[in-house]
Amino acid sequence: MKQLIKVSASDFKLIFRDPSLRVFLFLPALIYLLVNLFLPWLVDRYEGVVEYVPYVLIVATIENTQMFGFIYSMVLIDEKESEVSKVYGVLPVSKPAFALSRLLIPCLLTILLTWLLLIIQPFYTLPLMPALLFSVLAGLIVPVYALGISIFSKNKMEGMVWIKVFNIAVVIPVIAFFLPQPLNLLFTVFPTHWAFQGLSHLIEESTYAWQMLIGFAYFIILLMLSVRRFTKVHYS
Amino acid sequence: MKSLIVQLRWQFLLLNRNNIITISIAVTIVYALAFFALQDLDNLDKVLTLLILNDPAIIGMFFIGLSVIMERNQQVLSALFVTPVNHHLYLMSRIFSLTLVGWICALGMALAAVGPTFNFLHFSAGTIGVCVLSCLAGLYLVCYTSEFMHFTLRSIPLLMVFINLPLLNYFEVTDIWAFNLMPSYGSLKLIASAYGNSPDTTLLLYSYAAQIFWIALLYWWVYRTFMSKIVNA
Repeated sequence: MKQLIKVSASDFKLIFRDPSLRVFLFLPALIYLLVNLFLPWLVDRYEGVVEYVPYVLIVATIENTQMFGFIYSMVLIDEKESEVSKVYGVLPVSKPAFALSRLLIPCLLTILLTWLLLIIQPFYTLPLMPALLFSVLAGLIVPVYALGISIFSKNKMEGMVWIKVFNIAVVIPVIAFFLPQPLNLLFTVFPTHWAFQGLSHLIEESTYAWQMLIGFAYFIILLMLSVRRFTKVHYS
Repeated sequence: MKSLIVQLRWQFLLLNRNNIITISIAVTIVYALAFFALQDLDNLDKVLTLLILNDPAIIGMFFIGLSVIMERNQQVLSALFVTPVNHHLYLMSRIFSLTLVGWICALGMALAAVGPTFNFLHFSAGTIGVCVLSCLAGLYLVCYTSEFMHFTLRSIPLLMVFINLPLLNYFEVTDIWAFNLMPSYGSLKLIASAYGNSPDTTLLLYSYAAQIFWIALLYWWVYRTFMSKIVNA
C-alpha cells in the first residue's frame, strides 16, 4: 500500500514536468471566475438568466472534473504510444491497484475543487456534507473518464475523438431538466444524470439520497469494469 | 483532378482509420435525438447555430491540425513533399474531406432540430464556409507548433476569438460592430438566415461576399505560412 501511494505521488508529478499539461491546471480557476464573477454579472444584467443558474452550476462542477480526466487520458495514451505501458506491465504490483492508485491524487484533487466551488459560489448556501457527497460522486468521473478513453484509443488522434464522445456523454443529461416526464427518463442511461439530479435536488433542498445512491452504484460498477478492461489492454 | 481524387481517397481512409467518421456520425445522432426531444423549446434554432459553430466546425480545426502533427512526427510529410504531389492538392484534400464530414453532421443536426423546411443553399454555404475557415485556422496554428498538447491548448483561445465573438452579437449579449468583421461572421449569418422566412437580401449578399473574401485571404495566407514553416523548413 505504502509503495502504491509512493508510485501515485511520483506519477502525479509527471504532469508538472510537462509544461503543456501544467497549463491545463488553470482551467478550474477559469471555471471559478465564470461562476463567481461572470455568472452574477449576467444575472444582474439579464433577468431571464436567473432560472438557468442551477443548470450552469451543475455543468460547471462537472466540467471541473473533466480537467484531470483529460490530462490523465492523454498521459495514459502517451505511454501506450511510446510503449512505456508494457514496462509498467512487468512491475511486481497488482495491476488493478496500480491503475487505481495512479488516479487517486487527481480524483482527490477534483473532489476538493468541486467541493470548494459548491461552497463558495454566491447563489446558494449548500450544506457542507451533502456538498462533499456530491463532490465525491463527481470525482469518480475522473478515473472512469481517463481509463475509458485510454481503453478505446490507440493514439492521441483517436483519443481526441473519444474525448469528444465522452464530453457529450457527461454533459448531455442536463437536457433532462428541460423535458417533461417520461421523456426525461431517456437520460437515465447516462451515469452523470444521477449526479445532476442529485445536485439539483440538493439545491432545491429536497430529498436527494436516491439519486446519489444510484449515481454511486453506477459509477462504481463502471469503475470496476473499466479497471478490468484497462489492465487487460494497457499493459500487454 | 485525378490526383485530387486519389488524395481524397487517402484522406477518407485516414479519417475512417482514426474513427473520426464513425464517431462524428454517432455524435450527430446523439445531437439529433436531443434536438428531437427538445422540439418545443424556444430559440432551438439559436442552439443549433451555436452547436454547429462549436461542433462540426471544430472537427475541422482540431483534426486537420492533429493529422498534420501526426504525419510530421511520423516523418510522413518529409517523404510526401519530395514526391511530385501538388501542395495545393495536399491542403485542399484535407480541407475538403473534413468539411464534408462537418457539413453532413451539421445537416443531420438541422434536420432533427428544425425539420426539412430550412433554406438548404444558405445553410450549406454557411456550414461549408465555417468548416473551411476552421480547417484553415487549424492549418495556420499547426505551422507554429509540432506538439500535440500545445496545439490543443492554443486552439482553445483561437476558437474563442475566431468562432465565438460573433456569437456574442448573435445572442444579443453584446452589440459590438467589430465582431461582425470576424471571418466566421458571414457563415454565422448564412446559417441563421437559413431558418428565417424572409432573410434580408443585402445581408445575405454581404455574408456570401465576406465568406468568399475571408476564405480566399486566409487560404493564401495559410498556404504561404505552410510552405515556409513546414514544407521548406
